[in-house]
Amino acid sequence: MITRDDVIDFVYAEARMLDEGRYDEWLSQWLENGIYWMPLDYKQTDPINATSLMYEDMFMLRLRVERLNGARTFSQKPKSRCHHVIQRPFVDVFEPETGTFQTNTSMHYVETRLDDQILLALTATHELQAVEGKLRIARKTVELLNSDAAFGNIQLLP
Amino acid sequence: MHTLRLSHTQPCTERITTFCFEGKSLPDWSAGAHVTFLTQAGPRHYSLIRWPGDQSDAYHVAVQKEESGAGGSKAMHSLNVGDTIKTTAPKNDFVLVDQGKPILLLAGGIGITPMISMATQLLQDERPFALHYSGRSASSMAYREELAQAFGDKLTLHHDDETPLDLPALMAAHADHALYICGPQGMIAAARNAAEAAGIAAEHIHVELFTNTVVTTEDTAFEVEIASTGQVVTVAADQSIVQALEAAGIDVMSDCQRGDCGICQTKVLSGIPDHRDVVLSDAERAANDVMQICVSRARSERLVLDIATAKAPRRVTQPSAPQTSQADGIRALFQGHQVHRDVYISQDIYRLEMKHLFANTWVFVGHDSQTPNAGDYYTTQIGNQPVIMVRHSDDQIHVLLNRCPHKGTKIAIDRSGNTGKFFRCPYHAWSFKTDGCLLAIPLKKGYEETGFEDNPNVKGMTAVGAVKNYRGFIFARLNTDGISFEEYFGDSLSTLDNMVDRAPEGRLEVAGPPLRYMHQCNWKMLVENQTDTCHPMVAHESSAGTAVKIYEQMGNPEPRPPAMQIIAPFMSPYEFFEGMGIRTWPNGHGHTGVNMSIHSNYDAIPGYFDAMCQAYGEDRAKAILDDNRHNTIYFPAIMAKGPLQQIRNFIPLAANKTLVESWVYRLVGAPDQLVAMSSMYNRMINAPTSIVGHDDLEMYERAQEGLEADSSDWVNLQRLFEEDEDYSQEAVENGTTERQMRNQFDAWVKFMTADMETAQ
Ligand code: FES
Ligand SMILES: [Fe+2]
Repeated sequence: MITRDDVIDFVYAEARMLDEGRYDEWLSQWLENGIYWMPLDYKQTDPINATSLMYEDMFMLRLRVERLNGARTFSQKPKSRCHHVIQRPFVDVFEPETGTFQTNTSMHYVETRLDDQILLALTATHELQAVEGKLRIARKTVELLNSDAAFGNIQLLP
Repeated sequence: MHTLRLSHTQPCTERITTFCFEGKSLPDWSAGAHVTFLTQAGPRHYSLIRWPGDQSDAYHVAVQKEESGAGGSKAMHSLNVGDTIKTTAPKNDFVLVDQGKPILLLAGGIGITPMISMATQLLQDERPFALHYSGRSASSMAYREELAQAFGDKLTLHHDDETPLDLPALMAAHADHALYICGPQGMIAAARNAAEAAGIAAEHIHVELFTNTVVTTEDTAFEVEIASTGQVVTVAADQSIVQALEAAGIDVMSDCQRGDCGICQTKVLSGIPDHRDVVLSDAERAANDVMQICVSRARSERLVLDIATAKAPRRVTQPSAPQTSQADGIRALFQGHQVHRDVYISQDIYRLEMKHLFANTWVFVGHDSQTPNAGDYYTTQIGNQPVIMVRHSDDQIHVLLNRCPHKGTKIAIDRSGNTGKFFRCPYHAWSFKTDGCLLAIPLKKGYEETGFEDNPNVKGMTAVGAVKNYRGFIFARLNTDGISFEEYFGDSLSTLDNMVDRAPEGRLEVAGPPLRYMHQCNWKMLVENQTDTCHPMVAHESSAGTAVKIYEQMGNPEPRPPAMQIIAPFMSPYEFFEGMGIRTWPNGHGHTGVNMSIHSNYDAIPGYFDAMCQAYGEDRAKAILDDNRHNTIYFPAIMAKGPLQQIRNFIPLAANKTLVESWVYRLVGAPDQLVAMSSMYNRMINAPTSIVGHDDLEMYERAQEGLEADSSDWVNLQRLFEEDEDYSQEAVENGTTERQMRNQFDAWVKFMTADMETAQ
């Protein structure tokens, strides 16, 4: 049976995988029909019929991860690094009977490459599903506080 | 209600006549009272006159003929002896009270009438008083002799001919008096000011407007004629002019509705306004050629108002001394097969581009669906010029420089909004119509006789030189003079046509905000890249090549993942891009994908082709949908994708800084999947989070830094170059030519120098 601590620990562990570049392990945390959504507009509701920053299925996420390691991925020579500082997640949905969980987590995300470093404040919503006793990501929504600002490259994953 | 009978009349001056009315058991009244006569032209108010020794209970009033034929006075003057007229009972809003002070009575013009009764009362009560009576000329002043006879040395006459009224001196001499004033509003205001300056307390100052149109008690109806159309609107007694005009569907400006903001100020072409605002100076009031239509009414039966508009200032071509040497310097930067690196890295060249290139060309501003309603605005930049695109009350889109003519404050800084009928500067509340015209300035009196009226720099928010709405797309030319929109774009408009024609209803709507992606590189690198067909298979191998590899590993499943439709074609081989073809048009425009493109092989969207056939017929629908142009450059700084309804706007912020805004439009009448497809393309290719975007930006930024190296001053543009290329002719060539880049630099030189040599 999944506990609240399991849910909270999952969110911390996911951030750590990204920070440490353990992308294959990270990909294995997702349901096959999972979606990573990063809205463009503040309080955007429709991810599909207006532009989002990201609305990515597993194919796109795999492509992203694979690309990071490509021999001719020039924008990753040298590689970017990232760092999450996260606040303890709120568990907004906790239904162990159906295996459905949802968290809301405030984060500061730092990404750096060469002499540049950016800081993004964001709120992540994880929609999680238990599959054979293990938590899996059905949907991760990353709402940047300044989603409507002009950005340079954001190459890794908040 | 009483019925009065006119018993006799007595002319006093050319314009003023005394009317004597009798009636049965008329109520008594006190000095300062008026009665309201219900004339055919509506109720009119007249003060009652009583002379010393007059014991009769008849009502005496003096009626002044209004120059422009006020209905009330005309109706009164048309009464014959013996006629009857209905009146209200006398009412007193101007009561003579005892404040234990001597009294100063001050009358202007016809305002003498209640003063006669007051002086009579004071005489009878043996209270000390002085009566000062002022008028334009002796002959225009009624009752001069009667007054002298009745009040002797208590009376002083002032008229502009001989003994003009000196208010400060008068008030200083009567600083210990209680003051009663009746006359024109300007005179009342001036007298009040002088009294206050002399130290007379407000509670000792009593005023009444002209008694023949006392308006504080009851307003009357009048007519307003719109000069430009001749339309006549009746303003009811309980309506303001603004309300009456709006009810008649005439669009007017107003804000405070109290007569203190100046926004509703309107030109009066004829008729006499009854000014009730606090905006106008005495001189402006007296001139009667403007009024505040939210509160002020009419003394005349009709006002003719000029509701038409003034013209906002235009940005004028900056006159410059002949600069042949500078133009030659610009020409020297482009040699056909190569271009000088300074065009990318020099901030001086950037400044010249902003001053000349972006002022002489037609630059994209936005789409009219971003501002669907009057007052809707959107802020952006044309080159380095902050502008506001706004829909005016006439439904036209105007483009104004976003700067207050006063101190320079940006008028709007949010990216979009609705400003109502006018912009109001947040700093000192200067206000401007949505076509830029200066509307009002608080405390405008302070600019009188300062030369302000003749200062061309404070006429309003400056409009760009020219605006064109082409099928919903808004373009502007900053300079007033220059090439026409049609000549500038010519046949290149076919891409925008195709984009719009792809909507079954023939129009587009903006679909959400744009991606905003900051590039630390020169804007021209981005523009050139749009028709650079030799980079995708190299620079995008990391993203498109990896996509193809993963898909193969998956065993090429159907249906394809969306990324395979969109990203994988970037991996097409050189032969594919060669076959796509490139077309160039005069003035720097051109496109890739003449024969087909990476957009040709998208999955069909159910229902769309049917909707297109219904709208256009099958042949035309096919022709529209078979045109799959790739990237069209509208020189200088946008790229349009017809098949995906996208515009990318490359906004130059500095020599090494460019903001890219990527917009998506919805095809009105088409299934949602089309805008979903365009939005998907946008986020996969153009976003700051897009892997394809990362590939490109890496190249631009490396170039921006690398160009500092002194190996050579030149950047190469030589692929498929031919000597004597004629860019003034449309041409179609091999899809890997760099001719379009050369075409852009040819236009760059042309429009950089277009206004460098015009001043003779
Ligand atoms: S700066 Fe705009 S009103 Fe003063
Ligand atoms: Fe590219």
